[in-house]
Amino acid sequence: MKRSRVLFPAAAGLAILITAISTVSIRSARAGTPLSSVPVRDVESGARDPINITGEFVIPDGAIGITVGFPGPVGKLPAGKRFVIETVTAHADLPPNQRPILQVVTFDGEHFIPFTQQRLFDRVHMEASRRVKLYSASDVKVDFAREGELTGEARCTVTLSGYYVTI
Amino acid sequence: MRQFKVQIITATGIVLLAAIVSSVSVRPARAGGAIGATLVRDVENGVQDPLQSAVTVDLPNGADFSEKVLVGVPAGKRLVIESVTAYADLPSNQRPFLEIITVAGGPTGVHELVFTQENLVDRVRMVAGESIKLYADPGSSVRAFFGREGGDSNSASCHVTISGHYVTL
Repeated sequence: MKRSRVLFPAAAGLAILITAISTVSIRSARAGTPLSSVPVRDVESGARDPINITGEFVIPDGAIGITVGFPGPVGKLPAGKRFVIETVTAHADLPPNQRPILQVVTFDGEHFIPFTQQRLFDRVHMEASRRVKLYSASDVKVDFAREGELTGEARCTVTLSGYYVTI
Repeated sequence: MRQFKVQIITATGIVLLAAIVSSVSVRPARAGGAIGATLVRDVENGVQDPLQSAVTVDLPNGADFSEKVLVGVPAGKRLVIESVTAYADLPSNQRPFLEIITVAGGPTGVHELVFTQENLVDRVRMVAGESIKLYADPGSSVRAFFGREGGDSNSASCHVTISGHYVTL
């Protein structure tokens, strides 16, 4: 009986020690072991059929803005394809005291692309770079306009980067 | 009888301790039971074939702009650029501009980056960091075009880093 009185607390102490060690010790990562899986390849990945489209806009002296269809001079969007635009970048060059406004117009609406002021030495130079996700089944329209005075020429170079998906 | 009482108390203590430990320890997510699904692995995931490349474009005294090749894309691969960062260092009163030039699907694209003013103490220091998505065709080169406005005196430099991955076509 005396022996069991000693054995019982000893067993209890051992159990507590094991629990404490297993709780604070290193354990396998929580992501679990690697699972067997089926390798897949996305046939509509942007890497399959990418496209860059660059256009230069010139607003003549006295005009407020200009609208151009993309691809425009490059050609039409291929039939049976949808154009997915992922990145829009632009450089605007305007006379002093003018500011640019840029919109990318797809069938689902007008998307404003914000400019950031970069250099204001003798002319206004502003840059835009934006990651977007826009879809178009027809030519994309790009509107470039200016605020402030309407004197002098204003220029903007716009590049749309994305890919085609066959519908 | 007294011994039995001690054993009961000890056993209760152990049960309570075990309950506390299991309450605070790691357990499966609480979102509920897993729903049956086919397990897939995207073989074109960016982690399979990542790429990082950096160059420094230097402008010596009198130079307005210069460009360097960031990476040449191997045949049979397409490069997907997912991030571009840059650090420009120029003399006082000058401002940088940086373009990443790629060829994707045939046409060449000129992608402008936006700099943010960081430090104008003794020199002009500006940083650009963009999460983007650009593509570069097999066999093409990705170039960094760095220039400055407001003067071309003294030297300037721009360190450009791209991050992305290759996809085997």
